[in-house]
Amino acid sequence: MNKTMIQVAGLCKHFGDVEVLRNVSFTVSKGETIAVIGPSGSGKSTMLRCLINLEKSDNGTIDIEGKTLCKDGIYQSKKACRSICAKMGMVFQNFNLFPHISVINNLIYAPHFVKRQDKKELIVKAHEILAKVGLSDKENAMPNELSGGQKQRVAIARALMMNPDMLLFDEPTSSLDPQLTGEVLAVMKELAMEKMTMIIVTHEMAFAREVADRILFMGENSILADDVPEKIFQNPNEKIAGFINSII
Amino acid sequence: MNLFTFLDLARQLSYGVQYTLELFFITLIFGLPLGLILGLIRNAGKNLVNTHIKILDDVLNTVISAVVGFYVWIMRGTPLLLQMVFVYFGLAVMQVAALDPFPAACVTFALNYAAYFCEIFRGGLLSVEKGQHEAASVLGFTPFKKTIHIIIPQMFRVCLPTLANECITLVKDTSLIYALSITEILTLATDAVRRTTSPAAYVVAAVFYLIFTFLITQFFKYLEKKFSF
Repeated sequence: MNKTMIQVAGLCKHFGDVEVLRNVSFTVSKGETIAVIGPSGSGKSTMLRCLINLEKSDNGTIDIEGKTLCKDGIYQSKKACRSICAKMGMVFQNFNLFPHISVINNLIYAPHFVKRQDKKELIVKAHEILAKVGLSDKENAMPNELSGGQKQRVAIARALMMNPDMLLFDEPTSSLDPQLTGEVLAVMKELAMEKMTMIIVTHEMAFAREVADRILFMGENSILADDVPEKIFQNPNEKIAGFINSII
Repeated sequence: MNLFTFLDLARQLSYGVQYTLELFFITLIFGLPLGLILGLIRNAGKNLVNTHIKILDDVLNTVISAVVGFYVWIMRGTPLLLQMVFVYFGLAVMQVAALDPFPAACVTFALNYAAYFCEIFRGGLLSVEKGQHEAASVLGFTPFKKTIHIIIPQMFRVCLPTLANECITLVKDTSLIYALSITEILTLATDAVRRTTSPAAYVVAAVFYLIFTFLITQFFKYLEKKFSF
């Protein structure tokens, strides 16, 4: 059994009177690729955002690599939370690149200013990672000169610069057309083959089925199924079948 | 008005330029940073103070934001001229402080403009998308580093046109120190008009202000180009 990277138990979250997450529990082991699927409003993104402390859960426990981020809804100090969450990288639907600096600076800003790493070494590393995502020729481009697919690949590269143990993807291809979606999914597939631990909230069923080791199906604010893709797609229960049929 | 008269008047008025320039730069040097700090405080709102005691946070944040709000209200809500004579005459009458005219003007201008700059910067801060804060935070930036490296550079570009506007207003507002009998351009021009019984000196004064505002406009054009992305 591989090392447990994320352990979530009894996660609950409300926005005002609206319940978003009800008693969500799951674990993620090292090297796993998890796809989170389900209808809009089922709490997928909120669950992901809770893991990296962009949303605060009301109740429940989140352990990241054996360290407790929050227990029964009570959080560690801000500093401790930051150091626990530093193990994770996140990729957003809207890319959220820093628009005022070039691609290479987008990559090296965080490790340089946050981790105080040497700029020259970071530039060498940034070149390697840009080559990996197929954007070697774009290092001096500004973000607004890039296509959506290129922006998202830069965003993945930026997350990789921090040497994360895990990557969280929040609908990384939802604002891209099919062609650009393909180039982003190819990069993610490569990461999956390198056994990067990943949690991917997505509507790309074919990708989820092909790449994911496990699928979490969320609906009605909780996890309705947690299983390998074959079981989810071949013998879906009524709710999952309804969802899958509705989007294909 | 022949060229000789014009140059002679220009020479006389140029002795006042020093005060205009000094007041202009002193106001910016003290007003901009103070305005930025106030703007950041106002923008942080409920998230400014973060001890682990919720009630203490709520009380402190409410008090601080109320104080800054009150300051901005007073400074923007009363005439600059009134504030200046209050600092100069009022404080002297109350025997709180007896400032010389020029320092009194500098203090008032810096405090007054800081309130306007505060609101300009707050507007700029609001224009930075939430996603930028989130991206910086998941990359491990502390709130301070995030503000310095990610938020302020983006805010600054948005603020530039409004800042240019405010700087032009500032150049013209410097003529208010006329009320404290400081020998700046407008004071000297009025003296010359009385002496020569001709309004030519006012025209020359207008040319001085136009040259300043033209230079400021050009400078901000350059900044906007430099900070565009």
